Parts: sequence; C-alpha cells; structure tokens
Amino acid sequence: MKKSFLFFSILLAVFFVPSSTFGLGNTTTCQTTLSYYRACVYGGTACSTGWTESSLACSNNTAGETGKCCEKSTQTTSTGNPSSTTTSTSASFTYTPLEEIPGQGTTSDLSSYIKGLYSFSIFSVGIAALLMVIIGGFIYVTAAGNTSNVDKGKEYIKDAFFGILIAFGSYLILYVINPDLVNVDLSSLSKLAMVGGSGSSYTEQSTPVKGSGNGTCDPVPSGSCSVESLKSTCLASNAEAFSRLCNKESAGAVNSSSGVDICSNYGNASFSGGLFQINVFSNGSMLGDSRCNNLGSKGTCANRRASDGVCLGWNCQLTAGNANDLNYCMGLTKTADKNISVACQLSGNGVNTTPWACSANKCGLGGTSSSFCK
Amino acid sequence: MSFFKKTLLFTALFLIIFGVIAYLFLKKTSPSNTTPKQTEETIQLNKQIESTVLPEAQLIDKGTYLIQEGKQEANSPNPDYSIYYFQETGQYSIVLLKTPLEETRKEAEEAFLKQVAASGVTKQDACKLFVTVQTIASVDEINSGRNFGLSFCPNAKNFD
Repeated sequence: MKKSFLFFSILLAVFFVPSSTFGLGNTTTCQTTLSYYRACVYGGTACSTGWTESSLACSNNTAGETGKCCEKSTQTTSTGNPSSTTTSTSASFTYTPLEEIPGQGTTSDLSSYIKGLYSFSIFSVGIAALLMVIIGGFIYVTAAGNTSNVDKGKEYIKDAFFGILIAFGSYLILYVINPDLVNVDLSSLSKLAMVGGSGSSYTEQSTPVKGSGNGTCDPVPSGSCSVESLKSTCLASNAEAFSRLCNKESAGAVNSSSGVDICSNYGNASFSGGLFQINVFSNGSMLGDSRCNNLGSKGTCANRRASDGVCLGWNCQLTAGNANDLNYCMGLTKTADKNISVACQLSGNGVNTTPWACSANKCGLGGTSSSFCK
Repeated sequence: MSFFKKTLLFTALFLIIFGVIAYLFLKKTSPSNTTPKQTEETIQLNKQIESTVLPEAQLIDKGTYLIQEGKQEANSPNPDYSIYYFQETGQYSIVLLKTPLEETRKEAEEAFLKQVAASGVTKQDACKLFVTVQTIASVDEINSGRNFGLSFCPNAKNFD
C-alpha cells in the first residue's frame, strides 16, 4: 500500500512538471493581450510617444531581424501606432472584480479571471483529493479486518486518484484538441457598438474573423502576404486569417488584377487589384492620394454570365478626365504597403472580414454567403 | 484482483494515456510552417535557376520576382497565368488567371519547365522544388485559396 502511494506520488510529480509548463503561464512573446496593445517594430525604429518598450521577445521578421516589442495599456482611449509603420489593436474587456480569486491576486480582465478560476479549481481538486485519501486511509487502517470497511477505504483512495487524473488530464486533452480552448484569448473579439442615431437596436459592429466555416484556404507561404510578414503590419492581430484571405483574393500576387471587376467600356481595365483586391471606385480615397478620391463608379453591368449571374464587365462611369487616374490608382493598389494599409482601414486593423464577405465565408473566416457569391 | 495489482494496472493505463497525449501534444505544437524546409538539394537547384532566370525577371516586391506571364487576350485584364519567384523562401508561385484551369495549368507548367530547363533542371527535379499552383477568387471562387501543385508531381490535386 505504501509503495503504491509512493509510486503515485512520483507519477503525479512527473505529471505536474509538464502541466505547469504547458500553460496558465504568461505569454512570453510580443502579443496583444486584454491588458496591453503590443506590436513588434523593426529596423531600429523606436517606440512612439505613449508606447513603452517591453522586455517581451519579438519573433524575427522576414528580413531575419529581431525587433523591439512596444506596448501600451488598453486602458488608454486611443491606440495610435507603436511606430510609424506598425499597429496592433484589439478589443479590451477590463474591469475590477469585487472579490479576488484566492491565490491568484487581482485580475483585471476576463481572460485572466477564467484562467485564475481554472487554477483555483485545480488546487481545490488537489486539496479535496488529499482529504479523501486521508479519510480513505483512516477507514482502511481502522477497518480491523472488516472487509467491508477495507473495500470502502480502498474505494475512497481510488476515486480520489481518478478525480485528480480527470482534473489534470482535462487541460491536456483540451490543449490537444485545440490550444485556443485553454488560451482563453479574447483579443480577436470586438466590442458591440450601437449604430444609428435614434433607434434602440444594437448590431454587431464587426464580424469576428474566426468563423466556423469549413473552408480550405491556405496561408500564403511567402512574400508580403505571408503570416510572418503580416505580423509586422496593422493586420498583426489576425495575421494568419488575413494571409488566408489574401491567398483567396490574389494568391499573394502583389500585381494581380481582378478578372471580374473590369470596365468593359474602358478597354477591360480592372478597377480592383493587388493583394486584397482593393476596389478603387469604392475605396480609392483610402489610398492616400487625392487623385484616387473620386474616380467614379462601376456603373451598370455590361456582361452578365448566364450560368450564375456573375457580372463579368461593367459600364464604368469615370469622372471626367480620370481614365489615366484609374490606371494610376490601380498601380497604387499593386504596391504591397498601400494595399495592406487599405485592407487595415477596411477591416479595422484585422478585426472585420466583411469587405471580403464571399471569400471570408469560403475560407471559414466569418463573412456571409449569399446569392452574390458564387 | 489485489489492490496492488489494480494500482499497477491503473498506473500502466495512466502512463499509456499520458504517453499518447504527450506525443499528440508535441506533434501538434511543432512549428506549423507552411513553407517546406529547403534541403541542400533544393537550395542548389534554386541557385542554378536564379543564375539564369532572375536577370531576366522583373522585381515587383521585396524579394518577389515576376518570372513570366502568359499571353494576354485583348478582352482580358490579366494574362492567362503569372509565374512568380519568392527568393527568401525559394517558392515558385504559378497563378492561373484563365479558365478552364486544367488547360491553363498545363500551359503554365510547360512555360515553367522551359524556364528551369535553361538551368539544367529536369521535370523530375521540378517536383523537388517548392512550387504552388493557384488561382484567385475573381477567376474561380471555388478553386481559389488552395494549392493544386504541378500536375505531374506526386502532390498534384485535381480542380473541383
């Protein structure tokens, strides 16, 4: 009996080491949390005013540089940019709990609170199991030959160990199924906002990018739309999702043009292009060049495919004298930085995939499917 | 069965379950890199190709070269296909921009093989390179976002 307990103690000790290593610890890389906006900056760039340099590690960027991790409290009203080139934002859900969790200190966000509750419940299970082992042992040694009590004592001890096994095993099992189940990362969620001035209805301001679809879009492996590269942009908070979206839209080809957003009456010139297939009629003003502010509109459909109703060409209505501007602005969409900058503006820095609803839906990244999508 | 035997049995089961979970955990947390690791052989092949192909290619983005484009029809905003090379990862990206995709893939593959053949790289060697064959949503929404591979290589997939 004593040998069995000793053996179990060693077993549990072995089990405890990886368990404590696996999780519930602090994130050691430069990632946005509910308490801090964080972003890596590279090329010797200093953190901007209002941002402080953190000791957290930054992964190498595509050029192999190790950057500085700039951070800023989510309590501040404006995120701003950590440097002149990178931003990273997320929603914050901070509050002050009425009562702290024993042994966990005061938590200020929901994610830490849930983790604290889990840790506390694990401690509770351990203490309860120890108590039950003691009670079982006591019944066992005082059985004085009564086989019923001997069995009862053994049952107590056995059940206590099963309880411990289940409690500790749950973390590993959940982690194996999906690490996000135990990370409790709520940074990708956005706040609800009231829209409309007079009504009392609420609507979601944005669509979460991690949808439940069954899409099969791969991330772009190389170039400006690769996950690693997007991590150093304003899409950092959802780099992988937007890399997949980029793959769907342009296959990561920076100079690609749309095959359907074309002006039939202007030599089949495209009006959407680049990594995220930015539409220059709808979003030209986001390119940061006055020539793209008012290019015109795509007009009516000139060539509709009978099989699925998709419009393959439009009777574009360009603002007078803007034919050259259309080409110029399309050129801007084909520069990676400009294109990603517009994607950031459209998506709220990687939060909202609605502007690419069809592709996002097909990739399982939120969005909606409609008759408009093929 | 004695308590000691039960304990042993329980311990054995525990260790087996723990071992399986630990194995799955380690397997799952190994870096999920979509970029295949370049071997000495592929690095050598890429060097050969770079020396002949890159001087003729157009640098369109940081480390991204446009190697070749297919013909462009008068009523089309795009060429039939584009072939890119990403120097940092040694990836060749063949983007198909005309349907039917199967025909365009064949056409693009021929052009790609012709390009690399100038560097002494054979059809068999081409399968050792990191090559993706894809299309974009505005050309084919169903098939975009996925890599279909070179049709003559083991990782080739059919279009839907």
